[in-house]
Amino acid sequence: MFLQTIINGLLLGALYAIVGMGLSIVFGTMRIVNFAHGQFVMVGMYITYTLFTVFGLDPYVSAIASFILCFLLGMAVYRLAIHRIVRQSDMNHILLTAGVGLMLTNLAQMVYNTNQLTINLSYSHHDLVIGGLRINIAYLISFVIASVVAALLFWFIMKTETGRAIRAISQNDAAAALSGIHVTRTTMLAFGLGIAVAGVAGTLLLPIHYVDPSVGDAFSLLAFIIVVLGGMGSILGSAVGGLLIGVIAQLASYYLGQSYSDVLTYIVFLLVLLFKPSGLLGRSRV
Amino acid sequence: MNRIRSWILPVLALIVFAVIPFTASFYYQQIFFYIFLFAGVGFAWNLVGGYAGQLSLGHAAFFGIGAYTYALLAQHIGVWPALLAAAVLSTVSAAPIGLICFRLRGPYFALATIAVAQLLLVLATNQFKDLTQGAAGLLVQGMVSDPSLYYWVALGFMILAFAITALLATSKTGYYLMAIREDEDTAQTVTINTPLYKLYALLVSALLTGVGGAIFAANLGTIQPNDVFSGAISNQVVFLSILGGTGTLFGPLVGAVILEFASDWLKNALTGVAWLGDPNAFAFFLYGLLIVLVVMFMPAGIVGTLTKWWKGRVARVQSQRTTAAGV
Repeated sequence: MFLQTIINGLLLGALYAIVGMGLSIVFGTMRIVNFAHGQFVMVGMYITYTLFTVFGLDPYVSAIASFILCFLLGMAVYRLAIHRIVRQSDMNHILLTAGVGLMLTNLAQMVYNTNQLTINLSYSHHDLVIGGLRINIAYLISFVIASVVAALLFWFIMKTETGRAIRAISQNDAAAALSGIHVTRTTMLAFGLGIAVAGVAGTLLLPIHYVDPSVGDAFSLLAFIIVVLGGMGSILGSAVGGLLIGVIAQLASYYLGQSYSDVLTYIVFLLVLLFKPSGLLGRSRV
Repeated sequence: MNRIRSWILPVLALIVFAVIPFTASFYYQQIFFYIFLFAGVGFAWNLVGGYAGQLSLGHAAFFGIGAYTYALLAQHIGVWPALLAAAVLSTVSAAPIGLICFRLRGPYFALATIAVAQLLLVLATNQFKDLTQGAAGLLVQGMVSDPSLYYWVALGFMILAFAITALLATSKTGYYLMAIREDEDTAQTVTINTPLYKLYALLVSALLTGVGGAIFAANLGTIQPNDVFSGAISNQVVFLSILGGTGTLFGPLVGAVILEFASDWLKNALTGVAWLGDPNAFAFFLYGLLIVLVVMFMPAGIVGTLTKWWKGRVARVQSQRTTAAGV
């Protein structure tokens, strides 16, 4: 049963990793303290829910729609609001994005009410059995897509010209501007990319997690926990952090009880903040 | 002369506040109750978040500890000793929380305070269910015989909170805190014991916030963890202080008056509008928009911006006078 719990944790953790990787680009790399990250995950979940119930679109297909819509939404939010205060204190980042988060949460509540919504897929109740271990199909598909998204994101940041520009800005934006990088446009792009990844994370979460307007708050804190645990500025670290939090949460809820998964997550977070604030893979990559 | 003039506004406000309950209905008395209560907690938050510049997003921790201490003790040791116990326990709890969180700076401090408040919320809901009754709710003994008397309790609390924060903010401690806000390293180099003063501000802030939580619980009559430990409480306190102006004496009161009246008016005005969906949600949507706009265009808040404008005007008038005489 221990092995089964670990596997469940890894499957869940891969989705957490995607949530964290989006924030890792925004906060870890661009240094924008985005307290609305979870709300963008929520937006991705609602997009997927709507496409599924109205058009019957399979959630794993609507990941593309989530990506594009959240990318545009993220760039718009950056251009209209965050851009004006991006050079100001962290406190203003936090307050402004918390305000954006409040707007998104309550917009969702106006449209969808406070009901906990879930979607029912034909294949989400089937398990794959390998040597006595059960792996849920929906989890497995989400896991595979999450891995692909993570790999693509890593490749984009490490290997492409734009990715190099993003990393250059995170190291020294004045020098980046001097070497011909359009800092505003690249930052907007990076912010949009982070939000788009959050949207995809929402899509991948929906088959296994309900959505209601308040899930955003929980995912925001979770995303920060993962980024800090993995190490600031390390996209790979966020992936590891997400997997680790997934395993910790599953172990705690199996051996101690459901509510302990949150308790243990918060305690691990506080301990990391106190004793290893640079995180597991801090400052080593990206 | 200047000293007397600076007293005019507070005294006028006090006279108005003292007259209100004799003319207003119970409904409006409750609105004023929440204005005073959250203004008082806002004053308390302002010490840490405004003057010392440490963005605490977890003041619900102290609010909830105060509320539950009062709720659990009031029927055993009496109402006022329970209120005292709430003050003491929330202050004591602030010591370890402060020692942990103040090791961190900037966004990490804010995140740690959120994590502490969330941790307490989960613990109070689940692990300490036997004590708190969890989400089922806990009956709370009232503080005063007549519900309309809570108006005075909250008013007294706000005056106390204002007096304490005003005394601290205008004393040497207040200037130390502002120095920490502006540049913590420099403050440290000029021999200010920054950890000590930050902790001092947090202890006072937690004491007042805990008392606020106890009064809140007594007025509500029954509480569950989500009422007092939630992020909504933490954010409410922060947002009204931002709107009024952080690091200003009257900011939280101005913010509380505007937010309470605006949200009350909105809820009443929008109840019939079907296409908006939940009017409560729309009110909070506008609330979020307001925060975004304030941070973008008026980061000093209402009181801060007005003060800056007034000082600029006075300076301009004076410079005109001096040049006219000098030439």
